[in-house]
Amino acid sequence: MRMLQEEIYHSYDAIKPDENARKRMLQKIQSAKSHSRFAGKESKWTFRLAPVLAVILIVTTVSCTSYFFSLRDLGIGKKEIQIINLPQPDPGTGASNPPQLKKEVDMIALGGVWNSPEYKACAEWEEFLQNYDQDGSIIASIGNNPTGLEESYEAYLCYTQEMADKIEEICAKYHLTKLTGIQIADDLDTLCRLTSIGNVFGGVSEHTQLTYWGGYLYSDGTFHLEGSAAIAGASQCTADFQFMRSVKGSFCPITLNVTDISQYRQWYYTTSSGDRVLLANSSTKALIIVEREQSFIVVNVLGDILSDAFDISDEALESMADAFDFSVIP
Amino acid sequence: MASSLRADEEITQIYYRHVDTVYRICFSYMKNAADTEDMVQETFLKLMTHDPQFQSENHEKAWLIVTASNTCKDELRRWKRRLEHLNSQTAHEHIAQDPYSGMLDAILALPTKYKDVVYLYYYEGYHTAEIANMLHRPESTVRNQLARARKMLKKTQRTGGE
Repeated sequence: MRMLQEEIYHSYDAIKPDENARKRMLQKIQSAKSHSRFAGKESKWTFRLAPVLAVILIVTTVSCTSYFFSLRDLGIGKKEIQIINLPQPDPGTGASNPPQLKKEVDMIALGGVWNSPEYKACAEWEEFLQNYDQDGSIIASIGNNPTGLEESYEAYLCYTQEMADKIEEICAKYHLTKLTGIQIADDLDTLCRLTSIGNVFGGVSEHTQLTYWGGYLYSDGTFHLEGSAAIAGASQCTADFQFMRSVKGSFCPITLNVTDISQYRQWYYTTSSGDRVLLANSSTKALIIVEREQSFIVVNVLGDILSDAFDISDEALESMADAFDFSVIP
Repeated sequence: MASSLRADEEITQIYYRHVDTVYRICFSYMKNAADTEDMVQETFLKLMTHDPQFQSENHEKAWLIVTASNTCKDELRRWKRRLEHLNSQTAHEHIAQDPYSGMLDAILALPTKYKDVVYLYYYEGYHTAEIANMLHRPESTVRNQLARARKMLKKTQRTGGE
């Protein structure tokens, strides 16, 4: 482990501009400044502030096959995150906005809905993390050195035995198994073969073409893949996405920042493959959520990669959902 | 307007304090010296046009790292739109006689989202919580990305190092 760490460090250390390059770049920067080439140029960065709209209350039903849930049922509370903003110069005065340093956001669990063992486990772990090593003194004393826990607790990245013990305690309490045996899947065929599912990109969508970029899986079949969706037609855009499948009965510790749950439009939609999915769209993020008998699936849509603002229409989101075939996942 | 902007001398000082850091970040995305230099310039130009006020040198460095990373990602998106392919570019003009070139190739080949976390963790020595704050990602995501990147790099170490 230490050898790997050293190799990575030295590899980066070898990347540096020589003195000529340093001077050349500085001269160009100073020259650009003096020619005011960038005066008045607006930053491409846009603040993705949460906007509008209402919460939809979905009523749970007694039927075990038609459980309705909303995004709120995945919420595990708020978390304060630190923001490093790119200040926007005021067009009138040229003054910059002060950087906003902290922001409270809603987090959701990706392993299951409220009250499920997977949800409870994730919430308990998150609560533990919030209260553990708050001043960072333990991790500071360990630094980035190997702990011996990496292999067994890879999915949880425990850096102390106390954390590892907590993982074991949670698994025992909720009768869940740990995620182990991570493997990288270089292509979709490999991912589908290793997880014993059919082609998850095999949905029927007239307008959407999905591309696989990469993914990994655990031995229980839990997987995470990344890709992009090229959506044609009236809602034309190209959106990157993360597809996360959690196998029920396993402890998935992953949480997702959704900014503000109350700002999502949510509706149920039946895809062209006949899968009923929950769609949630806001001005910061869109989600496709599916509960299967043995799995819980969340597709995190990262927005139009060619647009500065998050801009996925509801129609585009439905078209994207059509392109997946969730029925191949048990 | 001009009064709120930094003087040349201050820009030069900031530049020399952080140019190597910004260069490393940009190189990990762009993979060649010419494009890296363009992105370094773009990053420092943003510093001048946005004129952010920093609370500390660490804050200044964090801002430049995030800005450099975002600048490169924006550029790569423009490239993607033009259907240009980065993978064919492997010129390492500024890495003369590097005994770790196998590992460097593996680092450069990492998926985009892993690049920042690997650099910040292994080279800059930031902890996962700090990286999560800088990159606006949940800490659990950072830790998972780190684990997966480590796995990929280990593969290289095994095949290349033996």
